[in-house]
Parts: sequence; structure tokens; C-alpha cells
Amino acid sequence: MNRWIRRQPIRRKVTLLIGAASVLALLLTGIAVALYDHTAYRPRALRDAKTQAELIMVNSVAALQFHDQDAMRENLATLRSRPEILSATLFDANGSVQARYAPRGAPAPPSPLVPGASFLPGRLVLIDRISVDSELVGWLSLQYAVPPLWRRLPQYGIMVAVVLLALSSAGFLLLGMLGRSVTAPLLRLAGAAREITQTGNYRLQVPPRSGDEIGQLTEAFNRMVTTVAEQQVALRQNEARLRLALDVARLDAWVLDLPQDGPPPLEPLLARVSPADRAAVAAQIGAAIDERSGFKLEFRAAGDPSEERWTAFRGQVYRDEATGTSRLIGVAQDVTDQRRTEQQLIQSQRMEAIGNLAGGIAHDFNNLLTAIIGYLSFVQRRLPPDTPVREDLTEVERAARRAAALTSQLLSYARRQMVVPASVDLNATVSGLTPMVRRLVGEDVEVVTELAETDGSVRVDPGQLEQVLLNLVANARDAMPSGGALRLRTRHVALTSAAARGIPEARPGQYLALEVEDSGVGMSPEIQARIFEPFFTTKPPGAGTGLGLAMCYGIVRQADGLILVESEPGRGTRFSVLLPREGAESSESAPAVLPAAIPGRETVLLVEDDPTVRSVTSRILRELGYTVLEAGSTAEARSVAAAAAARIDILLTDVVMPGGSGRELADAMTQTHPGLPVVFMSGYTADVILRQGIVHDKVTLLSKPFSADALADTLRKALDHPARPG
Amino acid sequence: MIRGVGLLLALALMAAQAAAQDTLPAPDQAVKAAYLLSFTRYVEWPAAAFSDSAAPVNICVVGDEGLPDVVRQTIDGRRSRGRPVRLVRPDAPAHVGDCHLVFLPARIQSIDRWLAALRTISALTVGEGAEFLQRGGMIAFIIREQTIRFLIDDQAARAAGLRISSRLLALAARPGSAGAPP
Repeated sequence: MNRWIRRQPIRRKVTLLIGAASVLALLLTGIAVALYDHTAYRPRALRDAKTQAELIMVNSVAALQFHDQDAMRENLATLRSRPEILSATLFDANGSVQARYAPRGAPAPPSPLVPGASFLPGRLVLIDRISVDSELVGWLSLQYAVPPLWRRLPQYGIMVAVVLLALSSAGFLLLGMLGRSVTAPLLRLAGAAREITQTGNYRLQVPPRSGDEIGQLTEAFNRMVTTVAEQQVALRQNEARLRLALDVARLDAWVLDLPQDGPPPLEPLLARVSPADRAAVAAQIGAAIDERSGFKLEFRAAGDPSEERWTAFRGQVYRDEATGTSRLIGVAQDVTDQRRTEQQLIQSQRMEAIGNLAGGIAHDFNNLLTAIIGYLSFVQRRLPPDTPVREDLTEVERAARRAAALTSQLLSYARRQMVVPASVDLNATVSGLTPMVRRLVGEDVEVVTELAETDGSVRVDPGQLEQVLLNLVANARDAMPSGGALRLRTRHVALTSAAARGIPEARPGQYLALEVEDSGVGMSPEIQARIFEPFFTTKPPGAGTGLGLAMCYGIVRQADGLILVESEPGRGTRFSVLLPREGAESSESAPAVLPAAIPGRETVLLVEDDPTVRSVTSRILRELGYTVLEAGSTAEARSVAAAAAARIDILLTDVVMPGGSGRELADAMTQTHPGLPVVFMSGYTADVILRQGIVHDKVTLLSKPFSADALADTLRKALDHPARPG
Repeated sequence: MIRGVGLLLALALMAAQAAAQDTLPAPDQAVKAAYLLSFTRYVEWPAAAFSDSAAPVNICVVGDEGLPDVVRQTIDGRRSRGRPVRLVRPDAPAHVGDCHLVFLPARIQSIDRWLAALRTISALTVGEGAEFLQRGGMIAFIIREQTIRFLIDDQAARAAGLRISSRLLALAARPGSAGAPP
């Protein structure tokens, strides 16, 4: 019943209310009528009866005294106008009937005449004495009709009808007012709400037309709509911001509704996965859904198989406790570049590790080779010119020099080669080497040079630059066994920050590029990824050392440059060597032509921790005529210098030694011996020393292993053209 | 049962009346005596007719023949409009000065004389027979349908300064209709 009422429209509720109130009012009216009847009607009837009796008595008293029964009857007959009087009887003083009025045959009055009033069923009986001058002259008995309430009710019908009519009119009036002031505004509100929901027009406002609850409701509705509109705007802004953020981050958000049971509909997600990885991705996502956990996975994206793209999914299962439904929410991101960078980083780290290993080995080898070559020269000098052993020894020396070349290449790759950077004009270098390049590649290969119009130069060890160029040319030749075209190109390259980010180890800036391009067989990406590794080669065993490109890589990197390769199988390969461009600066004058190995008379302080190297070096110097003071460490060198009777003319020192570096020793010695020339000899230059600035144009360096002639030349040059401390 | 008791009571009353008539005067005289008293209750005398508010109403009965005794018995202890009632027996017309009501029986010879003597005072004159009114009387007993009724000449009463109540006038028989004197 309650539920039924709640479902009814307000108008019907009010109608019901009014109906109920009317019925109640009618009921109350009925009760009131009954009460009124009981409390007012009977006394009124009694009063009326007494008045009537009084009238009859007054009119009949004379007739009674004079026994005029006709007069009495006439008198009583006037009661005809009072239908409620059932009967009236006059008695004389003795109680005998004198006159009687009973138009409808009313019951006889009670015979013992006792004055008083008594209500009998349906009537009121009134008996009174009639007296004159205190003497009894007769009696009156009056019967007054008091009909039961139910018979009198019709009298109240009019009253009830009036009440009913008033209530109905009031009800209809109220309904009309209700329609105007309640239902209509409510319907307007409902209509506005419907329109807003359908059209999304949140600027819609309902004008409040009253200050009552409906008006308040309208205002609250308007406020709510405004709030919702503001929230919508904020939501859209947030959404746009989020979309922008996702866009910038190259993120693509997705949502997947998961069914309560049954397999998750992964098709939309799997459509982005390459067929090869689809099964694995489906399995991983399925597992994450089962565990209600998050997942992150990378896979090859569906699409053009020639261009491999990688995508990462990051997702999480969210369960809505309110609805009991689950959703898989996540983002997709193209991680191809990231992966490439990561792989490049791994590659460069691997190269670094290999370099460290190779450098260490080469260092020790150099010391050994220095001794071998040194002692070979002693042996050769002592042997008579025509001994057959000399040829064998020459072979030994050639092998030793090949070993030295190998370690040198290793050190180049490891960036531990002693370098003497200078300003180099790339165009001049290419032009100068072109004839040699033509010879190197043979007649089947056409050599084209394209030189950029530039006045810039690069800072690099010129000999190393030549090594790099010739190495690349040799590789190009090998890639074109049946001939082709070789292009040597220089050009200016500006590396922007964005471009630099795509290349590992690259720094933005101005570069000069030396490009070596062939039309040969080309390389697969897998080979391209490894070509700079030492000992990696595609050539048949014995045809290459696997160190050529590794060396090029090391040299270029040591000069803060980049070496890039672009290749396509069957189309050819292009190597680009990018070197930081230097402001226009006159290139170092070509090394002076050294005089032939010249003996010397000066005193040399030789500092070398390796006894073999020290011994062979000392012996070469002495044979050249130098006076040699030997020391195995920097500490010893100082004490030797302090104790030396003669003047020390030159310091020849190893760079890296336990107990103190050659650099420190040189600094200390030049303090006590101003103008003392210093020659560093080293198997490699440790990065730390390079960064400390020990190596610069004015310092003389001697690379291990060195020949007796190289040692003689270097010393002579240092003694005759003392380096200015810089 | 009640009806039975009522019947017994009625029989007892009738028995009492029958017993009373043996010693009491004739019914006519008793009725007339009672009527005389009743008349005084419906007539208004001029204020000068009474010396004060407690002064008695004097009913004068001329002649004898037992009526005066009946009247005396009838009025004994009764009052008219609050005043005591007294029987006066004037022996001559000159002695009617105190009378408020004078009954002149038809038997007496000098009715006209009495009436003439009464013209000077405000007294209600009551006689017998319709001709009493023609003589100048005010109320006359007559017999109609075996009961004692009366005629009234209101003009005469007014002329004497008396006001007869309309209630009494209404009970009076219509003049002119036949009626023998009692």
C-alpha cells in the first residue's frame, strides 16, 4: 500500500489526501451532529414543550374555571401548526379529562398525574398543574415527539451537503493551485533535467518563480547544474591535458573490460602484437589477469616486417568493488628508440670492456717487444755483415715489428695510443692521400672525391687520421671484389641536440665529416652491430686481423669524434667519420726532417720500472755515447739526481709507474732543473694522465716499442729544440 | 393495572361528590358561586376601587335563598388576583358603595333600582337571563345545552370603567342565540 502510494504522482496523492480529509471531516461532522443532538436537541425539545404547555395553560385556565370544554378544544386545536406535539390533554382539578388533542392517535397519557417531564421512547411526556391564585384548577398532559436520531438525520443532510460541497470546492481549488505552484514547476525541472541529460547543455538554467521549497529546489538544481558544468569543463581540461601528456610521452592508453568469467577479450590488444610474439603476450597478460597483478612486457609490434618496431605494454588489473567488475587498464608505448639506445649502450660498454682488456695486454706486450727489438738491434750490430744468421734475424725483427703494429692497433682501439693531436685540414688530408687510395683499390674501382667548401679544421693525430682513412678504404676495396665506385667525401655536419640523442656517445655541435662510401656487398644489421669489436671479421682466416675498424673506432673516439655506418646488403656501405670542427687555425707545421740517428754526449736520467726495458734502453743510449743515470722509480730518480755529480741534461721517463707517475717526477725535476727537457716513453697513455693535460703539443712522447733509431732521434730533437713548458 | 387503579380512583371521587351533594347546595348555585369568584379574576377595576393593594374584593350578593351561604363557602380562604375575597350582603341599593361585583338574582323585583344605584360606581353587575343585559347589566348567566354559560356586555362594563379580560370575553356565549334564564 505504502509502495503504491509512493509511486503515485503528487497530484493523485493530494487528491487522495483531500479525499481522506473530507471523509474524516464528514465523520467528525457526524460525531458533532450526534453530540449536538444529545446535548442541545433534547433540552431544546423540553424547552419548546414547556413553552407550548405554558401557552396552552395560559389560554386554557379561564376555560377550565368556567368548564368550557369547547373553548378548551378550540384552544388545543391551535396545536395543529405544531406537528411535533403528539397529544395534549386538559384535565380538571379532579383529574377528569376536559379536552383532548391527539391528531394521530397518540398513546394515552399516563394516568397518575404527576407533574414533571420524562423522555420515553420517541416522545417527551410533560405533565403540569394549572392553577390560579394558588388554587389548582386543572392539569395539562403534553406529549412531544422526540424522534430517534436516525429519523432526524435528513435534517442534517443539508449541513453535510454544505460541508461536502465546501470541502470539494476547497479540494479542487487546492488541486488547481497545486498544479500551478507545485506540479508544473516540478515538471519544468524534470523536463530541464531530461534536456540536459540528452543534449549536454549544461548552461541551461530554470528560472525560479517562487521563494518556496520548489523555488529552493530550482535554485539548488541550477547550482547543481552549474557545478556539474564547471566540473565537466575541468574534466575536459584534465582529459585534454592527459591526452596531451600521453601524446608527448608517446603513450597510448587503453581499457579492457573483463568479463566475470570466460576468457578475457584480448583481441584488440593482440592486434598490435606481431604474430610471432602474440602467443607469448597473450599468455603473460592472461597470467596477470589471473593473479590480478600488474604487468610490463615488450614485444615486436605488428606491421611492416621490414621495419622492426617494438612496443611495450604496461598494465594493471583494477577491480571495482562496487560493481564487482574488473578492468584491465594500461598504456602502450613505442619503445623502439629506447631499445635501440639500450642496445647501443650495451654495445659501447662491451667495447669499453674489450678495450680495457686489450689495452692491458698490449701494454705488457709493448714492454716485451721493446726488449726484443732492442736486443735484436744489438745482435745485428755485432754480427758480421755477411753471416747467414742475419737473414733469420731480419725475419725475427719483421715479426716483432708486426707484433708491435698489432699492439699499436689494439691500443688505438683501446684509446690508449699515445697521440699527438694537431689541427688537420680534412680536405688536404684526403687530397694528399688520394693517389695512394687509387693504388690501394686497384683499377676496377673508380675513386671519386667530393670535398666540401670549408675552411674549418679538426683536431686529431694526423698519422692516426691517415690510418683511419686507409683502413676504411681497404675495407671498401674488400667489399667490391668485382669493382665499383668509391666515394671520398668531406662535408660539414651540424649535430643538433635532437640528432645527438639518437647516436650513443654523441655530443651536439659542429662537425666535419669524412665519408667513405662504396657500392659493394653491404652488411646486414647484425654484422653492422658488431663491426667495431676487436677481432670481429667477416674475412676469411688470415685475411684480416679484425682490428682495423676497432682501431678506427678507438682513434675517432679518442679525438671526441663519431664513426657511423650505414649499409644495406647488396647496395653498399657508407662509413662517416665525424670529428669536432675546430675554429680556423693554422695547422701545425710539418714535423721537421730529423737528421740521421745521431750520437750524443749528454747525461740522461732514465726512469723506468720495467728492468728489461730499462736495461735495453740504457744500453742503446750508452752505445750512442750518452751518459746514463738509471732509476727504477721516481723516488730513486730523485735521489739519483740529487747525488749526481754531473749535470743532468735530459729526463727520459716512463709515464705509469708504481709509487709515482712520470708526470709528477717531470714537474719536480723541472722545478730544480729549469729548462730540463723531458721525454715520456709509454706503452699507452692512461686516460687519467691525458685528462690531467700532460699530453700537449709541447711534450715529447716516445711510443713503446721503439727502435734504437727512434730513441736516438727523439732524444736529439728534444735536446736540440727544448720543449717550452706549457 | 394502572388503568384499574385509575378506575378505582374515579369511582371513589364520584362517590365523594354524591355524598357532598346531600348536604351541599344545588349544583347550579355552587357553579354560579364559583363563577362569581372566577369573574373577579378576569376583570380590572379602576385603581380607585381599592383603598390599597391588600384591600379585599367585595362580592355582593343581593337577596338570599341560600346562595349567599354557597358563595361564602365557595370563596372561603380563596383569593382573586392576590387579594382576599369577601362576601357582602347589601340590603338596599344605597349600600352598594363597597361592592366590586354585585350579583342580582332574577327573582328580586327591583333589579332596575339596583342597577340604577350601581351606575355611579365601578362595580361589575352579574344577573340571570339575557334580558338582564338589556336592562343595563354587564354579565348574564344563561343555560345552554344544559350547562351554565354567560353573556357579557363589554360596552356596559367599559362605561363603568371596568376592563374585562379578553380571555373571559372569549368564553362568553354569543348574544342573540337562544337561551332561557336559569
